[in-house]
Amino acid sequence: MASSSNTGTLRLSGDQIVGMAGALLGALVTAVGTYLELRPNRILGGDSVTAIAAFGPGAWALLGLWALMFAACLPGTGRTGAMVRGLVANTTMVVSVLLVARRATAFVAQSGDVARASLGISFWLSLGAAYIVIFSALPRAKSRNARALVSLPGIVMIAGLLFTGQLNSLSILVEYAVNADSFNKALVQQLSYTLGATGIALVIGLLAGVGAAKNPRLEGPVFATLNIAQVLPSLSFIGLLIVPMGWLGLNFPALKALGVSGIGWAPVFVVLLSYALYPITRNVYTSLKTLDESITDAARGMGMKPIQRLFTVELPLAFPVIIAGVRIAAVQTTAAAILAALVGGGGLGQIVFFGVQQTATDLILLGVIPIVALSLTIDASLRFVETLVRTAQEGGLT
Amino acid sequence: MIRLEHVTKCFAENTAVDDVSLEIKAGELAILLGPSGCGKTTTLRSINRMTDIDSGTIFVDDINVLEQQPDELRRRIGYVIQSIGLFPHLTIARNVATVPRLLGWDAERTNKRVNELLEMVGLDPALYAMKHPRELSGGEQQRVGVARALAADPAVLLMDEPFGALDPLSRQRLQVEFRALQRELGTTVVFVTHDIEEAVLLGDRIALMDHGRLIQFDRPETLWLSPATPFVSSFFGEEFALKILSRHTVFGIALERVSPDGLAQVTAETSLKDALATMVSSGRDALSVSDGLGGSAGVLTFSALVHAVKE
Ligand SMILES: Nc1ncnc2c1ncn2[C@@H]1O[C@H](COP(=O)(O)OP(=O)(O)O)[C@@H](O)[C@H]1O
Ligand SMILES: [Mg+2]
Repeated sequence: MASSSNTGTLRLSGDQIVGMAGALLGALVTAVGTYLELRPNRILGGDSVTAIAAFGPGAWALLGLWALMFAACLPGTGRTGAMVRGLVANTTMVVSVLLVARRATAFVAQSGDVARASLGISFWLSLGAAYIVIFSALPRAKSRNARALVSLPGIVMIAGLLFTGQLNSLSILVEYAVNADSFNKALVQQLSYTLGATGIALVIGLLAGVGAAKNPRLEGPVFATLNIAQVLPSLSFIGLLIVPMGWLGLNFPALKALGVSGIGWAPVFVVLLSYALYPITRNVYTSLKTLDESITDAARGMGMKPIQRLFTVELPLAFPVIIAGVRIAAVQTTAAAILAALVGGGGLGQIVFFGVQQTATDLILLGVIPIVALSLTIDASLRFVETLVRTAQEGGLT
Repeated sequence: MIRLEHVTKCFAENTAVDDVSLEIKAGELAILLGPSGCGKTTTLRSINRMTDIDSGTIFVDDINVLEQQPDELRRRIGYVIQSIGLFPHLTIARNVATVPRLLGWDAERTNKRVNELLEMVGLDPALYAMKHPRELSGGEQQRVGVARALAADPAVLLMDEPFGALDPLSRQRLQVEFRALQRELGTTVVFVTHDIEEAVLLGDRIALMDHGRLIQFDRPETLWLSPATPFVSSFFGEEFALKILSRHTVFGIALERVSPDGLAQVTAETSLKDALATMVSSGRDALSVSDGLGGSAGVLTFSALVHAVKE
């Protein structure tokens, strides 16, 4: 009798299999592969060391943590197992960052100021493995707080270490220190592209989307225009703009003063704006078109004027979908803005291209990591806003 | 109060409303009844100009609706639909306050009115005002729908199958409560339904429609006793008489002063339909009517019952 009821709990569920795979990957990359690269200077190759070679007993502690995560995926561990492996994954991330930082500091102190300690592929994979374990734990976390507890502490503590200078001896942060001015400028440009293009696209997209939804005569032209922009490959789109934007810059002193010319920020901005317009306009249009007809009918029957209906009923109900459009636009823009570097438009892509030119991997990463972090942050925060609005509209947390 | 003159409305080839003329008196509850697709909704919506008619004229309170701003017209006419159409992102209080806000009432007056209305439709403001529509049952939602339509105290209320989507129990309760509320407020109501039972229970007069045309507009008793066309009697069917009985009570019928011994007893408020059922199940052709003090006020005979209805 007992055995028949046990077979159910002894079977592995999907999240446990994923968690096990993550834990195995983490253990593997801790045991083999380049965790740290210890080089005499920025250009020369150096020693590729495994975590075991780099940290000694610390690495065995890491392996122990991965084993613990694996154990927390075993059949019958249930929700407790999920919470345990999620929290251990967070701990492991922080511990491995602390270990590499300590090893890097020791190496630089010993080998001189030009020596570099770079993070190797195994380190990055172990972070990835930790996230696999975290994602495997999330579906079992019941409340919003439990999900936050499983997904956030590691990344928050690493950000803390980063901003308090604990990681400064890592090569990537040495690159930052050396290139701080150009990095900061590139970051500001990147943010301006994202915020500027998304912001203006929101204004135009609202007008175009509302117009297309309310006036059938606008529907065709609006989407025909957006579709053209959408199917043009970005680089050829920028290329197409060189001549007209150059003409604008030459013939209108006010635009020239703003820096409008055939190359630089202006053509890039136009391209980003057209890309951002599509998801926003489409979502505004669709959300308005698919509103529950009985609601709009009631609004009309109460004697609301079209503009009152739009602002008190239609747009508020459409808001979550519109925010989703803004989110897609902002994430797309962040990625596409890398291309700005190709035509002298700056942005974090510039840092990536510098890194490529100088064959300096850490400089490339200095460009790439903030782009990824930016995309993830935008995505997560706008998803959060979306959920908040939906919950508020549905009348509290039910 | 409401006067339709030769109202016609076509959708492409299809004549939805065909030369309909009728006049509804102030304080009357008029039913638009007929088979699905006969043009009830179109007729109703032409009154608050939710549908624009092709020809004819409509007067509300002796003012031609076609000469008024549609939005202003609609704020003076309550409108309740089957799908209710509450605004899901707004609280119940804000939903009910829709028209007062459109009319620019101040917050204090609006709040006072919202509480008054919620109580009127049987919802405790303390419990319901701050809830969202999704947290309410279908019946409760339609109560809010009625409260919202009555918010600015409109003289005219248009209702399109308002209780059609509710379960039978809530529907019956809402019908009875709504009838009492309407009598109390004296609101003129145009009420669309395809449910004969509901029409006979609620209507002062019933406008029976078929294929866009008005067939007959009369009290249910008249529709029963003097149907204008064979369609009228066939539409209401054999049970029409029983449904008419349910509109009347024992009160007011002359009773006979004979011994009530051994007869089943009913009260003056019992409907004639129930009285008849009691006669049938007790196996006698007479009933004792209680005087409310424990005794009998007299005896109701079968023939008195039948005569009373025919009059
Ligand atoms: N917006 C519309 N477009 C086209 N035809 C319509 C429209 N509204 C109603 N009709 C048609 O008009 C006729 C009457 O419809 P309606 O007034 O809704 O009937 P009822 O409310 O009695 O069921 C039906 O044949 C219906 O198909
Ligand atoms: Mg209808």
